[in-house]
Amino acid sequence: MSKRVSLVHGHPAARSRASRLARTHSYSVFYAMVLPAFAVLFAFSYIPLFGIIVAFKDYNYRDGIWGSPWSGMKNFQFLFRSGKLGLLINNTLLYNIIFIIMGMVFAVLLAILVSEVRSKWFKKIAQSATFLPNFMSWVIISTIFYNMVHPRLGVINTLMKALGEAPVDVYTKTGIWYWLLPVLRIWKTAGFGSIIYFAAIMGIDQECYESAKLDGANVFQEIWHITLPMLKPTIVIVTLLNLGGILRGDFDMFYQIIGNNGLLFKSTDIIDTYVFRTLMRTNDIGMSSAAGFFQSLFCFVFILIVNLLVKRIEPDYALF
Amino acid sequence: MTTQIAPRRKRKKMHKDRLLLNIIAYSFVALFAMFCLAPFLIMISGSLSAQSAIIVHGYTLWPRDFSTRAYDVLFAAPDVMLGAFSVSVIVTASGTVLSLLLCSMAAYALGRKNFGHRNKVAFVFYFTTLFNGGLVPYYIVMVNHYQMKNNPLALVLPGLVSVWNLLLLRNFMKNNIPDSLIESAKIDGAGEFTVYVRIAMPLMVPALMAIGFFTAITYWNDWFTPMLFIDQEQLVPLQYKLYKMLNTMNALAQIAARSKDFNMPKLDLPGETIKLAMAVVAAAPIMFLYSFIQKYFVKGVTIGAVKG
Amino acid sequence: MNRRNSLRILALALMLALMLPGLPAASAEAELPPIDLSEEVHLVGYIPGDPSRENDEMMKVLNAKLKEDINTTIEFKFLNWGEFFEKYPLILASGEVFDFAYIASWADFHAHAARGAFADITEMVKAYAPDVYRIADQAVWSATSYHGKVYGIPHDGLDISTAYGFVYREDLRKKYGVQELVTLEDLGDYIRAIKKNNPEMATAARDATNNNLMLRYGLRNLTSWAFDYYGLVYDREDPDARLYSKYETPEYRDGIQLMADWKNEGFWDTSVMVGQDFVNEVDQHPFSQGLSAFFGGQTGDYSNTIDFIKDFGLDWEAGFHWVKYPSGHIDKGDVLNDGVSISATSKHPERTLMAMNLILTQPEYKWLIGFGIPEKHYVIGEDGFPTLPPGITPDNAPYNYFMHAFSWFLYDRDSTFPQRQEKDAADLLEEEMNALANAPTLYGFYLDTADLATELAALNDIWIEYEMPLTWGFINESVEADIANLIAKQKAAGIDKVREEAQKQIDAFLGK
Repeated sequence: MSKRVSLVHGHPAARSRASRLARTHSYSVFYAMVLPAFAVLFAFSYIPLFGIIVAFKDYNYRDGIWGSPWSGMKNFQFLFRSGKLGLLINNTLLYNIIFIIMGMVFAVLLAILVSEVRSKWFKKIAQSATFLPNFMSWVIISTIFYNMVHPRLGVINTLMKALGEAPVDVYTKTGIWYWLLPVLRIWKTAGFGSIIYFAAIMGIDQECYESAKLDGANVFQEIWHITLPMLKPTIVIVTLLNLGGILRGDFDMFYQIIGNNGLLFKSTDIIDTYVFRTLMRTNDIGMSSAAGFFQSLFCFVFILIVNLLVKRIEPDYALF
Repeated sequence: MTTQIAPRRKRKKMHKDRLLLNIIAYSFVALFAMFCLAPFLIMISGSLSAQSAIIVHGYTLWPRDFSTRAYDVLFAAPDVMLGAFSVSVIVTASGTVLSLLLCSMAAYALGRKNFGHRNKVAFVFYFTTLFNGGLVPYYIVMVNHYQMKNNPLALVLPGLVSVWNLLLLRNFMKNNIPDSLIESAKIDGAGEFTVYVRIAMPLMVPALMAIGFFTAITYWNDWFTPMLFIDQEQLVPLQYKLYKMLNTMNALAQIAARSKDFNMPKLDLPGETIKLAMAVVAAAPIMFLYSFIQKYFVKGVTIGAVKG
Repeated sequence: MNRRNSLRILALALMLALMLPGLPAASAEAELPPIDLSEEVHLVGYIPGDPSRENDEMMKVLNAKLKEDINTTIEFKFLNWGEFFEKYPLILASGEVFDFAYIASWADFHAHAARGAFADITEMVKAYAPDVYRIADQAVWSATSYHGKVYGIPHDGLDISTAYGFVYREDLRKKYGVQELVTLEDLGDYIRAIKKNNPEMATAARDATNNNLMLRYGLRNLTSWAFDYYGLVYDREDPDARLYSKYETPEYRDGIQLMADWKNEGFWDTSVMVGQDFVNEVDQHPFSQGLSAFFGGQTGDYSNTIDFIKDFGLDWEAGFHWVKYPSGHIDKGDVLNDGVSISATSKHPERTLMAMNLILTQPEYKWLIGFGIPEKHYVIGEDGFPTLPPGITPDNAPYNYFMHAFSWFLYDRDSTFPQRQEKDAADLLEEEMNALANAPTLYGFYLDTADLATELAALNDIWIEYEMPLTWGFINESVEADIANLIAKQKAAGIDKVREEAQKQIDAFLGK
């Protein structure tokens, strides 16, 4: 690249324009490498994106997406007029933040500890076991979970009674779900989430550890000074990617575990369950895309700000 | 190579710190693994129980009233299941390979510091994870414009680029491959593409395996895409087939129970245990796949080996 | 999305379809205006459910006939029950080109019609589906109409009526000396007796929804509420159908108080709000395992339970508790549980109507759709009933009766298919109910919700969050305060606007 630039002489402005041209030209190989992936996204994500306008339309099938009459902000009213939006945003954000932080801590911890285990067979079996829950759908988990916490017949309450304790009825206690849901979520996802950190640990150059050992570092120092710093970029990117969905809840989990149990909504209602619940009767396409658009916009602004902050602190870690 | 020598050396002088860490590691991992394993065993045990036992006694760790009825029903027509299985395998394999190719290539470019527009391009990619047009417009585009109804490509193409995976790969690319390595290769006359194939790919094997595994699982578990676009039986993949079977059986049981003007005896279809058996059947091939990938996770890479 | 519900609905549809009344046999003579049949046409349509294994074979026979009669072939695309509620609206909304689709009020027929999914067949149906037009009761066409235009073919019958009720253990009721179950209080006494003597049995019935149906239906004994749209009701005999909120009535208050008392007595715990352990098939239902004192359902569930008891030689007796309105009547069933519409995107609406006319009304077609190919898929047994050929069991039956959605609403069912002679208690009960059924003032009225979307979204949320716990007796402050809270929430959500709009439409419906 530099060689080509140096060939251009003359006026500084001309030089800079020429160098920009030259630079762009030299990027062409990069663009070529990005192109196939972009083509797929263009066809299957960008083109259908025009559908966002449904959120601002009174959609009818005859006139289709373009032809249906505009309806302004009418489709958004059910969100803003509900008086619940504050609570919903609050819950959605709160759960997501808990999930992101706890999920990250657990996955990293698991990855590091598994990588420290010497016995190969133990490592293999244990690691496989940790992501078995990922294969269980929330429908099945909810059935098993219900069997365990059932107020009368559940295993846990039978145990409590045997120990002379009062049984706990989780289906009326709102506060307890701030603990139960993260536990369930981490139980289901930590093993799976740790794979990416595990791969990162395996990508660390073994020579780093060797030289640390020569310097007399103990194993905790190795983890603190080598493993964790090497994992930092992965931790940051996974967290950033997760933050991009900060206002999108895990509908399947919330709906399967909580269902339509109004007694718990104060602490378990998130935007996704609310939208499902309110629209399940009317099935209104415009209103559901309005809700989706609102979530997208919120996430968009949020991640722009976060990304900007990251760029200030450590430009290399920014998403874009 | 280093890892083979290391354990011997360590066993000789297992320091207190390493001993402590090992105690923590073994007990924590064992405990967590048990918590993960038990419900899965409950599920397997449930799938091997008579349905009436589940209703009366709930779920247990060991099957009560052992019965393979759920699996018998699932595999009543083995050729049909085999057909669905092969569709799944073909879709998963081709999708995963293509996806890894596309994503890693783009990730390489986006991770190169010399690519001045990398952040702008990354944003264009990332944007699609934030906004989407919704199900109806997507369906319209796919069916009315791309003619994707009953097109096997519908199962593979839309999932090829996962921006998440792409950005994770970019991250590995940026952090695990020293610039000096790339620059020295380029001084030796290698082009970007050659560097990508010869240097980046081998060094990213653990990451590629992890991401490939994610992609494979996504393809394998996807029943929603075939539900939208596939109604030809020969093109139905396993997960969707299982899903349809369960619904059909439930409907059948209802119908048989209620159609009184046709002399029909009752059907014995254990819907609950079949649901559990389905989950076991669907998970088994993925666990099998993982046992192959796992060897790439047991040993770390040594950059020096690639350098030399 | 919601398999249980959908199956429940399927069951309902099946039940209702089965109870179609006898209508005079059709003399199949159609006066067709001249239509050019020279071009061969292939029709495609969507129906819910799954095909029988040899559905294709049946279709070959059917298409051969159709080709001969009107130079047309037809293709049914089945939408699996698990995906029906996801895919059906999608197909309609996307403007995909196809010819016809199954419709039902529970599949949002009116909303889809309002958004322009179906072709206007007001005039065409008379010309191209004359038998359908003649046989179907004239009153049912209002059910498939929107703003005065017909958008679908309903099933032919008006009367399809069974009351929802509760299957319970008649033997235990007698054993514990509980009076016959007539009112909600009687049911309470029965539950109390069970709880005392069989503490291991579950004493709450929450099948189908997690709404408390015991209360909802139990109150019928005292009130004449009809419509019940987010608590908006009218007295079913009121010729003006003036709407008011049931939440503001003393009957509702007392009902909630009763439920709160029951809950405090320990008739149920919070698991009623979770909506888990419910198994569809009667023989696998906790009730049939002796684990539950009663469960909610219809006469079909009662009938199945009777069969189950007989099949397994149990020394039980089942009873069915149901309530009538104070007038001694029950409601007639929904008019539009099944039907078929022509797609707005169809290029051959005339030909589709002609095909529908044949399939729904002509015996040969009807038997094909219903039972499959004669001798191959069914034989006529000694009792005059179609039955499976020797060696074939339902498990491996190549053609299953009732798998094809059209078999649910074939016209003139009773005159075409043989009638079952042997009657059990459930059959007798059905007859009794049918005799009691009459039409409330707004029979056949469907609310057009197009301008109420925002309000209905909020009201549905309030219904789930506040009314459901209330109906199960979960009281926050006091019964009065909680009901007042519910009313206030509804007001804020715009219930008054809904009432005004509904009343306006009702007045128009009643011709005022």
